[in-house]
Amino acid sequence: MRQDPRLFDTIENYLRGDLTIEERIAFERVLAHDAELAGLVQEHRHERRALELLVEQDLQAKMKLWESGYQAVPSAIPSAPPLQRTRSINLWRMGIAAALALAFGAWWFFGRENTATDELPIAKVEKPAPKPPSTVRPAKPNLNTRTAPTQTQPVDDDDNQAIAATEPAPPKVDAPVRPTDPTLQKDRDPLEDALEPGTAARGTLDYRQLSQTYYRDSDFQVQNSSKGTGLESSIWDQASKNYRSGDYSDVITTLKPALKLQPNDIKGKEMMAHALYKNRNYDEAAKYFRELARVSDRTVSQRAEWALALTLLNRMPARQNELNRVLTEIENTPGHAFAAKAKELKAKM
Amino acid sequence: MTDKTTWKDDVLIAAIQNGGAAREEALRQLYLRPGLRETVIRHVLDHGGAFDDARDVFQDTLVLFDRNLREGRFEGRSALSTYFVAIAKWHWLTLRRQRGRYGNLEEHHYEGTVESPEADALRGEERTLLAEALTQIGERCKALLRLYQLEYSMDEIATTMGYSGADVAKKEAYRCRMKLRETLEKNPYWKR
Repeated sequence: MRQDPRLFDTIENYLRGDLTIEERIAFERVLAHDAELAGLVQEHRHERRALELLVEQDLQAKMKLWESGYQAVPSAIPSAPPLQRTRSINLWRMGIAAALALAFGAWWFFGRENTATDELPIAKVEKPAPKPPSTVRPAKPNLNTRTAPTQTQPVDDDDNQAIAATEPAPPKVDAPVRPTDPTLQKDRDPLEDALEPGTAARGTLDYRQLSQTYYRDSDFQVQNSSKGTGLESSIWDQASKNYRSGDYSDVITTLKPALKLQPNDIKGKEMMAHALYKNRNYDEAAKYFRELARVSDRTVSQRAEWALALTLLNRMPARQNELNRVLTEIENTPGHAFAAKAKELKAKM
Repeated sequence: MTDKTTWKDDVLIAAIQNGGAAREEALRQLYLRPGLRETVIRHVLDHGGAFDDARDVFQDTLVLFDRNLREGRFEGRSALSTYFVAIAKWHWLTLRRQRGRYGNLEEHHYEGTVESPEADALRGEERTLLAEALTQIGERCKALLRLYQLEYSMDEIATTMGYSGADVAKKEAYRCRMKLRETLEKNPYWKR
């Protein structure tokens, strides 16, 4: 049985997930009653793990070679060991507590007249500290360290120990936070946006909460009548129905092909943009809002600008420059429907 | 000369999935990508790890990332770097659980926001025994099976290994796999 190449291939395809659903069900039915086959599948599974370990060992060996090409991003990693870090965090916390106490005292004695701006139920907003200029250096690739695919690198059985023993000293660092020049942020990697200290995740400024506070369905009137849309009424009705019921993914699925046929349909684009926004596809939503902000109909363009600002708010701090620009434009456009809100939002930031 | 340091995500994905020298270059670029290592290290340090843990997690993550991409588990719903960091977070969470000091940790503690980064690294006794079995099949079989696992075509394997053709390469691959399997069978651990 073991020498049957067809069975060998079937087991291989089963473990790789390459069988069709019908084939898989049929195979598993046999498997449930055939102990010998079950044993073969188990052997095959172990063998596959061994093959993956081969690939892993090879990659671990290559990482040792690549290490010489690594250049640490300055100021990116806290250099102190965990105990020292704990101590510095405690000092940091004490500093924050003292600053908060001082701020509270100042507010209590000198000014409570500004509380009018806090009428909206949003999280306490703190202005992020100014960021130092970026000194990020690109890594220099070391193309000479590449090895041929067949090259065999001897690796210790305990790879982790081997890496720890042979790896150069950890990257030298100067300060506990990465440089974050806002002017560089539009080109930065999304992971840096997600992990940047001072974002909502760190609890200092809840941009998402802020956007939710200012996003009002009544400002946008997305799913009203089909009048004015060039889309087929059945498509519009279906999309509107999905929008009303909160099935935003379905709205996107419905409108995407329709907008390919009618790329200039403003109402369709508006609904698409807001569905993307509600589905948290902010970058995609922003593309639509930018296009809508350029249309000649002032009502449409103004609400698109406001929607764009709220969309960018969800992509802070990476989109800070663009957000500032959009809010300023709204604020400075005479008669702009959302000028007051833009001004208020800017004040909160 | 092409600037190999500027590969975009789609190029990197294709390179890793297609295998060969391009895969190696793609992984090298990710390994050296500015900021990626620092992000992983910072996460581990911020979540109870030491510097050595952080370096191990970064390297393990590249292994898991490579495997996930080759097995088609990445669906392209996030940037590659985001996915990489999500795997790292998941992996560190798993390691902490295995160490038993953080038994009450749940999935949401890894703060991942991208598609299933589940990754299972080989650990402990199983890893040691598999490594032992691999040492017994010989360097040539190991080299051949590595290419086989990375889905090189039989023609490419034949060329690289110096066989006369794809048929010979296929027979040799089968023979080496059987050899590996017999080696594994000798150990009662795998009968459990």
